[in-house]
Amino acid sequence: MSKLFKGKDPVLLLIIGAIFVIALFSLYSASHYPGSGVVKNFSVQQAIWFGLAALISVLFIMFGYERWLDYSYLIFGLNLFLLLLVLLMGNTHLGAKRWLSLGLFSLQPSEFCKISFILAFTKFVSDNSNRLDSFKTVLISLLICMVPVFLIIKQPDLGTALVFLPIFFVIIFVAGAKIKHLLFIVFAGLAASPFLWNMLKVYQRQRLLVFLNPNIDPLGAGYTIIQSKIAVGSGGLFGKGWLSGTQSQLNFLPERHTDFIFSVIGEEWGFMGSVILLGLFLLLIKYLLSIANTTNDQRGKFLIAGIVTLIWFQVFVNMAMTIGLMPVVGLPLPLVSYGGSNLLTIMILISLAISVNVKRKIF
Amino acid sequence: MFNRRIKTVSAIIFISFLVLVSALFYLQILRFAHYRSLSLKNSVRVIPVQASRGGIYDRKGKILAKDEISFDLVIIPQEVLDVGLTLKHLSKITGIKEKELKENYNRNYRLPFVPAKIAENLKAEDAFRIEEKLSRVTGALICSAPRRIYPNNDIASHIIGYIGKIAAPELKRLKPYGYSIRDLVGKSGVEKYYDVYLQGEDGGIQIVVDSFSREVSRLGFKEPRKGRDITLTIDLGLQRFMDMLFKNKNGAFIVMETKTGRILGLVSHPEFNPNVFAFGSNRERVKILMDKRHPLLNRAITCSYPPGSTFKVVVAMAGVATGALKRATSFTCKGIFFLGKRGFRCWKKAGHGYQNVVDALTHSCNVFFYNLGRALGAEELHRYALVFGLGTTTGIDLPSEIKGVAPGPLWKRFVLKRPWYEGDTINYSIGQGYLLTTPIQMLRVITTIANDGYCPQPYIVEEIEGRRVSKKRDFITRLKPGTFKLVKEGLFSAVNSSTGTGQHAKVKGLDISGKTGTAQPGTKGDTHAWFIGYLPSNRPKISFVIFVEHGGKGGAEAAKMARLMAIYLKENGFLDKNE
Repeated sequence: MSKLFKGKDPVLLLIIGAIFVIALFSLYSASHYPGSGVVKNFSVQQAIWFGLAALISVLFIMFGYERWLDYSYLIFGLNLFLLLLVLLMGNTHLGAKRWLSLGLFSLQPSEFCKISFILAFTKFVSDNSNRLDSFKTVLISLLICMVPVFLIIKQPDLGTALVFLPIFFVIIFVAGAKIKHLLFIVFAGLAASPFLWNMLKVYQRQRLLVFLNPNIDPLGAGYTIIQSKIAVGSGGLFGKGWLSGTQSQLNFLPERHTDFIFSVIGEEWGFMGSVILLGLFLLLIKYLLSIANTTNDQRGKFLIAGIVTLIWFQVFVNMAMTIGLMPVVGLPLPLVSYGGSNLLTIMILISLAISVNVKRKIF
Repeated sequence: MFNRRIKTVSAIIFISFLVLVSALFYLQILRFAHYRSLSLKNSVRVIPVQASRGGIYDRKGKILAKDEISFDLVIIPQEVLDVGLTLKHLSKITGIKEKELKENYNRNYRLPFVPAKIAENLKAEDAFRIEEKLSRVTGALICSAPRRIYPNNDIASHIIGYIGKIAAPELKRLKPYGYSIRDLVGKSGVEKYYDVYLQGEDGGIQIVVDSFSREVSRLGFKEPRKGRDITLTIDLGLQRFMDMLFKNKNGAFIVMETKTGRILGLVSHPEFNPNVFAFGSNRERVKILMDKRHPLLNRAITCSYPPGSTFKVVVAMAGVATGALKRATSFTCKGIFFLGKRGFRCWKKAGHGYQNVVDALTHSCNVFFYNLGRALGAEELHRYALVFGLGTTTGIDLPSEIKGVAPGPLWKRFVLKRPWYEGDTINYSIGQGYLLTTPIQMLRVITTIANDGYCPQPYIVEEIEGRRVSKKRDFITRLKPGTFKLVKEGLFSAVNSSTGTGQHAKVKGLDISGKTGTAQPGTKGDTHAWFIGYLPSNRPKISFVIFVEHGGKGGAEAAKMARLMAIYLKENGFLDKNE
């Protein structure tokens, strides 16, 4: 076991630990109500999830990323099948079908599709890396990416579906695709956007419109944005202090333990706290990228590029939507937002990156 | 190559984080004063503007349910320093007990800035009088909101249903669809079944107020959207007439267009007053809930009873369809039928003598059907009960329809864990024993016969906001049209022959077909009376079912009601040739 965490890996564990401590404090605050105390303690539940995720992560590290890559097509195929199954017979939760009920527990295939897609796509790109300068290969890669995107948009879960696009771009970019090809795809996508607009559900369109002008829906999505901005803005330099955020404590903020956990942090810990959290995420990303830089296996490089992109994209979009820079698309803040599925996904991905580092040292 | 590109990615990520930091800097440092003042005073407030619910109308556009403006007394919790003191003061002004105000406050409190209702449905003049005195009470005001009115009180109450505050489990189910804790939702009838359409979408005003809670600026306004209006198939006049026929008896009565499935009237007696649930006192509500006659039960679709002799129609059809029964097939009734040593009586002690199927339906001769049922066997009876839709719902667009029980040997083995006896078959053939049907199922049976083998799906909602509700699929038996002739002849004779059991339903100048039924209730008391039928006999336009709990022998009570109904239909043009 000690071999697994040799070298710089303890630094990584420290960073993750620090982020998670912040998460526990904020989740406790989010489950706290003035007067009535803690109604449902999300931090304890999340800690249990974290322990479980850590155990599974160790298994992933021991198994090694190379073997996962070997099986990645099969896993990805299975995952797509599950997504299809969700569309056909999934449980409706909050008006969207995302969950597949398996008797005792329910599964969210779209969450795990992030992992299987990164693995499968890494394998595909590295198997075809010598052909990546042809536009045809790039198009085929795009097609592979669009299959899960399409299935997940149909659920409908716009936020999760959007994650796949930056992963696609970054992996294929790092692998050496021509920049003009990538730009062409971006512009083609922009040109097709009116068509995509029609594909969105009414409530998704509404959210985009509300983003442009929160006041058109002061009771729904717009209300959340306004309240969240007030919460973060009123935090000031040092914040109002733990458990003292008036906006979040007085229940002005819906979903404050999941997608809007950052507004609790921003309010109670202020600018300093927010920047420290951002800094930790930046350190995490830098560290993962340094593994990519030093490994000799190109597959490891692509894999980590995908993993980093996922973490970065979720951090960026989540914070941006909390402070009103982006529409509310419902993406959790990695390692911080309440919820087991996403925590497990992020931890598994990080453990795959660690496994790249471990392999480098052993061989 | 790869590492160079990774560097580019790293740079992009770094820049994106810088963007976040500068946005945070702008929000938390530069605009700090602005946001702090907003948060300190909790000064953003949402004032909900309730949407009114869609109206419900009868086929001629007469109002069955609608929303009217009412006045409520509310307080805004965050602006009241001492809730207890304020409530005491308000109690003096309004004359409403302090305890009641307190209860309402606790129930309706949601968020500090959301007005909580403490007195509902004030009269307009009271509301104005109170409002004048409110200037000295901070945080209390009069709000206007729509209120549900049912102008016809008890009439058609089981069809319309009633609304009430949303219950916790319902809220959990409906929350994704935009429902909130204060919402009123349909609890039964059309109000429940079509709640999604009737429910409007609440609007609201989001405002910024100063520390004296005066509005400083308006952040946004969302207009409430009214719910959709619904037009029913029922006729208020007919409905009222049908209700009257019950006098003090309990039961169910449905009148339907034979060819279309339009329900023209559906009564479950006793009815209840839905207004009580919308804005009555608790005492009135409890009175309805505790009433031993169970007025909230919709007996037409939510209760099942033994169908008694009306089931003989199905048995006769089974006989003809299987080929066991021809016009000439006869049995002799001596008033009693022996199965081994056990005797099963006919209702006529002296016996009916020589009977063929038409005679047997006319006289409702038990012995004939004992013989026929025994010849067919329990499996065939079960099969034809299913063919005529017993044991399955009709799919009418009202909530809580039940399936009843269409028993068979296997059913008894599985459910009751006992074997099927020959005696069960004998009882089965006159609609007694384990067989349980809802009145609307018997309506489907008689309509299927009137139509020579099919029954349109019964429905109650004609249009939603001017748009026709899509047509449902018919119930089809796949029996040959010719098989219905004999039974229809018997049904005509039952009403129109001088010895027919349904002769109380006979109307001069009108051809009515029908079948009476007397059912032994499971509990003590008088037998239940049934009458199912259709008219005019040769070209059926209307079919109906009447069920009277403890209505007495021979179905006379029910048949008399059918007669009065037929006269009403004729006089009011329901039988005129149109369409």
